[in-house]
Amino acid sequence: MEISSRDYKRVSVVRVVGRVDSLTAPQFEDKLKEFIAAGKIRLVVEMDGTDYLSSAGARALISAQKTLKPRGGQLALAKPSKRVRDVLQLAGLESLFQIFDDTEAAVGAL
Amino acid sequence: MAQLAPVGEPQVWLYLLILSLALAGVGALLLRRWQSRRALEHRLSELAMLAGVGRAILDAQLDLNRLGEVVYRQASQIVPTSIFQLGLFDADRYRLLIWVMDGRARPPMEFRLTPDSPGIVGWMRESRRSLLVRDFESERDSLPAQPRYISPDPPRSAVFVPLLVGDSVLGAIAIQSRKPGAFTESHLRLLTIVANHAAAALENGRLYEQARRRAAQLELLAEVSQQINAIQPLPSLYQQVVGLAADKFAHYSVSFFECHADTLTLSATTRPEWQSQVPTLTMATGLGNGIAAESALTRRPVLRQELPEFPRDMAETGARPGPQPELAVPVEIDGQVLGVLHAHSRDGATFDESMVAVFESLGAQMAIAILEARVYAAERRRAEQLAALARASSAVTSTLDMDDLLDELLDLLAEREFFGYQHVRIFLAQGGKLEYCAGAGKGAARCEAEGLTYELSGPGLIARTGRTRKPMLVGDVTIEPDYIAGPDFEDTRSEMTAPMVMGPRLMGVFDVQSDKPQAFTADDLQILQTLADTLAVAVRNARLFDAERRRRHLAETLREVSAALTSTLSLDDVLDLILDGLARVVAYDAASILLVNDTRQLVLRASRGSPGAAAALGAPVDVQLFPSGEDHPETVVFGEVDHRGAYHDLLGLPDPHACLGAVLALRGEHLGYLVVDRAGQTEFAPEEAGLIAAFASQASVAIENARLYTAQREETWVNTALLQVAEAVVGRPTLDDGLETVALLIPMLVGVGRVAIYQWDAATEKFYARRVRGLEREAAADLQRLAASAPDLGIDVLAGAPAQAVDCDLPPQLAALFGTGAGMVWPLRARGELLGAVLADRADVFGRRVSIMNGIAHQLTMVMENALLAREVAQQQRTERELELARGIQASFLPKECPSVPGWDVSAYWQAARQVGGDFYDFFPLHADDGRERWGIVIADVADKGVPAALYMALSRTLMRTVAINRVSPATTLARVNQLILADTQSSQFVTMFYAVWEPDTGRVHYAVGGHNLPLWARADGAVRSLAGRGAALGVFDDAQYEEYEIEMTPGDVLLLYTDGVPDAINADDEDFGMERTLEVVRQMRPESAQHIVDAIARSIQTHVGQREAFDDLTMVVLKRASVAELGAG
Repeated sequence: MEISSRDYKRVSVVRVVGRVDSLTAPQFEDKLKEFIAAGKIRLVVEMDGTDYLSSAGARALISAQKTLKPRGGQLALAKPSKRVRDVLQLAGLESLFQIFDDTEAAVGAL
Repeated sequence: MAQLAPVGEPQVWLYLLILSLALAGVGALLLRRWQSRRALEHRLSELAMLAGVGRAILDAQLDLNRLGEVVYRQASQIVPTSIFQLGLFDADRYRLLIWVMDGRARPPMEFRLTPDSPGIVGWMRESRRSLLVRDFESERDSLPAQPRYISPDPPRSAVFVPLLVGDSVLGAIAIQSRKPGAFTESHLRLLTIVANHAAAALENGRLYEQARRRAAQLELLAEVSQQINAIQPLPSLYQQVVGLAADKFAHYSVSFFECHADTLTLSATTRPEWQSQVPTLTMATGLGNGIAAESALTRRPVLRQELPEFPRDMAETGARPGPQPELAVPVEIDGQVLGVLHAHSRDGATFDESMVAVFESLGAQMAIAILEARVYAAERRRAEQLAALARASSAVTSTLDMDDLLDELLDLLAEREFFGYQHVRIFLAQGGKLEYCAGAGKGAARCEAEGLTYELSGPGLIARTGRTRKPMLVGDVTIEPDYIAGPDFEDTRSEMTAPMVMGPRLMGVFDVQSDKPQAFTADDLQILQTLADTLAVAVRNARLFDAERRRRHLAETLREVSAALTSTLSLDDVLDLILDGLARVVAYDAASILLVNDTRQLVLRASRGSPGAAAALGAPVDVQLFPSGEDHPETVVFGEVDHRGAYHDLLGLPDPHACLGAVLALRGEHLGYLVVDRAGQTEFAPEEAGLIAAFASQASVAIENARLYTAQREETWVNTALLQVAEAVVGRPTLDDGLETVALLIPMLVGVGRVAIYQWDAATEKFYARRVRGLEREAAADLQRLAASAPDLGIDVLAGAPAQAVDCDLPPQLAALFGTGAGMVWPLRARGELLGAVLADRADVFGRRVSIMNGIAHQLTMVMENALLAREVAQQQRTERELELARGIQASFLPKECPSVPGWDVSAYWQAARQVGGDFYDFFPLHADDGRERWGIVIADVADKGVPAALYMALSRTLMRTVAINRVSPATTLARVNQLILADTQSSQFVTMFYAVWEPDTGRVHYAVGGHNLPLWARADGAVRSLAGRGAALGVFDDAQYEEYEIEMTPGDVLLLYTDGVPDAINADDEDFGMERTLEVVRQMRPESAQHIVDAIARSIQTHVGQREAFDDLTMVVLKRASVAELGAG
């Protein structure tokens, strides 16, 4: 798993490439926490390169979302891969996140 | 004829007349008979004489001169022959064989016949007729040709008879008399007959003569070629040829001129008046210098024999001497004129064509002989040169001493007269110069005395040869613009030079000069180059040998010094030994050793040869005077020191002097300097610098050894102490005890006044002083309260390097407490982790103290690392215990056994990952009002690991059991459990769950999905599909609602419940096991028992995953309704 990020004026885009499984999910979760700690409350997680998302990975997303919402921020997903969508759909978690088909739209919407 | 007179009467007279007539007739008859008889007798006598003449003539030998004499004698018997000439025609020339004037014989002469006034002889040649002149005076006007009178007493009568053979006029006989009427017709007739005889004989003789001459010529040529066939020195060859030619041709004197460039030199002659002029007589080739010079120029034979014109009065002309005929033929080969062969007529004898041919042949023979002789001489010289070269080579290569080598070479060259040289000099390359090094011949002494040197870039042939590295041959230095005359070399006319080159290096230049122009040939140059090449090798060898000898000497000295140095451990002795040893290899006037002492001051510790040394020993020296030793951790030699005044004043050394020094350093530590001075301007040579460097290295080791020895006991004590510290520290149960021990030891062992031991707190990223020594109590307490950042102590947190002391300028607040801003800090790191730091007063730590502090820092690191390790071990044990706990919790909540229901087969599989995931499954009987048998079946996955997951699982399971027990609807059960979970926890944890209510009697299964993987339903007929359904994971949404679904399992149907550990199991290539494989295994295994089915899936997954460690829990539940066949069998 590789995580990179780029900051826009109001929004930060976090790009996750590779597998977010139970081994790497803690790292992913820490990274999201780092952003939140830095006051970045509008996050777009770009997931077209995410090969796999385990339930632990989903938990990281939920955890971030739960933290952001009360602060007036939110976490949105951009271009999630089919695998990611399947996982979210299966767990019934899609409704937790705004999901966009392109990153710009996500950035613009937040 | 006689006349008779009358004698009687008329009768008588008549008678008498008749008688007398008769008598007269008789008389006449008698007279006629007498006359006839006389005539006959005369005729007979003539015939007899002519026969004698013919016999004599024809009997005469074939020698032309002798024949001429015979003709002359026979003619004398017929007519008076006091003036007699017998001559032969040869083209336009007339050669007198016999010339007698007034009875005296004259030498043979040759004349030119002029066609415009041929004279009587010419007329005879034309008309082929004879002529009788009874009296020139009376017949002058009727003569067919006119003689010219030169003499006051000319001949009066003459008889001229041509010598006829066949159609040609061979020559003429002319007999003259000073009396008129001296010759008659009869004489003419007789002489004609004699002439005819003579002509025949002369023709024979002429032919014979020709043959004889030709034979003589051939004989000469044969003889000459035989003589000169044997190769001999050229002068004797010339002498021999000249002698032989003169012998064969008695009428000529022969000379030979040698030709060099444009000069002819008389080399041999048989001409008496020239013999004293061999070989001084010289002439330039060209016109106007005689025929030899002309011949050399034109390369053609030149003949000069201006014959006198044939006189009409042949009696007179012979008296006038004409110019002597001479012949010169060039001796040339291949267009090169080697010399000129020259012949002079001795007695007016002339050269005919055959003679010219003979001399030409002779010339050609000589040319070959000369060439051979020259080639031979050149070969011999070359052979001698080569022999000498071989000797020179073996001589120079067998000598390794440079001076011997050059001496030997020059001796050899002189002895051999190698190139017939005048001067030979050898220059050796030194830097950008060519220095005179050895030489022979005149001028050598001056070159030596003046230290003759040519700049390599400067003018002159020697410098040019050095630059171009090409040999040069200058035939005439006077026209060579680059030429510079060396001292005493003003006479030089030609010069050759050869570079001595060894690979890319110019070793020197070999120079040979001669006072003669064109003294050297290309061969000589080649020989010289070969010699130069050999010499280059030899010089190189000699230099290497020299260097090697010096090295050996140095090595020997160094070894001795080294041996001496190791025999003592007193520093003073060591320094003395170093200076003594240095004096053996480098000539110096003064030498000193300056050492950095414990207080980092540079101090004069030992000195030789300087007047002020004794007083100055121990005095500090400004280190600024020298190159920074700190910058030169290796031993480095430095040259002239610019600002050395103070140092030299200290030593009382007079100016000027050359100064050379070396940094004394060992393993990066700067010890001091070794400085050598030499009075005067002579700089130190690079070799000397090398020697001093070598000594400096030795000295550094020895000084350090001596110092180490001095420090040894102390060190031993320190080491022992450190060892004890280490033991004490190891024995300390706590970090505080360890730090206390070390803090106590530092001032004792190192002599450091102030010291603080810091511990790094990774959480706050600050250093905290745990122990302080050497400060007032209050200051120490304040310091311990003041947290220091990494930059405060000059430490880079991220640097992974091991502990290395760094200088640190403390921030003001810290400096105020510590008492100084100049700190020295040892960062303490282990495994790349910063653990702490030691701070000391920089002024206290120098030299050896640094290493002791390094050792203590190391100890401290170990103390801290041990504490850290102990903590980590405890942490790990705690984690391990937690994992055990989690595993225990998880395992304890799983059903001990599967429901046993007739007609059904239930089996479960559970395998926890090492870190323990949050999977669980559960079976529990439900109690409904209708009393029908129902089972609740749960499979779930908590999105977490370890103890928190286990606890969440326990919570979920308990809530599930509690809520489910009284409910029939799985949907309402999940919705209620979700509410309870959310009420209980605030975390973001959630659990996916599949919950089924199973009625064994009917085979119906009601279920609801809480975000969990949908089970696979394999029908008896082989159709396999996932169950339909959806719903959110539990623990996420407050008001999550669930739908309820129902299926009816018929006999043979199989239902597989699983967690994501099944499809998501990945192999080493990150390839997951996937639903396809799962489905296929289930389809194939469906006839088997539930246990077999889970085992088969587990095996399949294991095969797929291979060695890769499972990172997730793996959980399955198989519910199978027995097929009809199974029921029958059961």
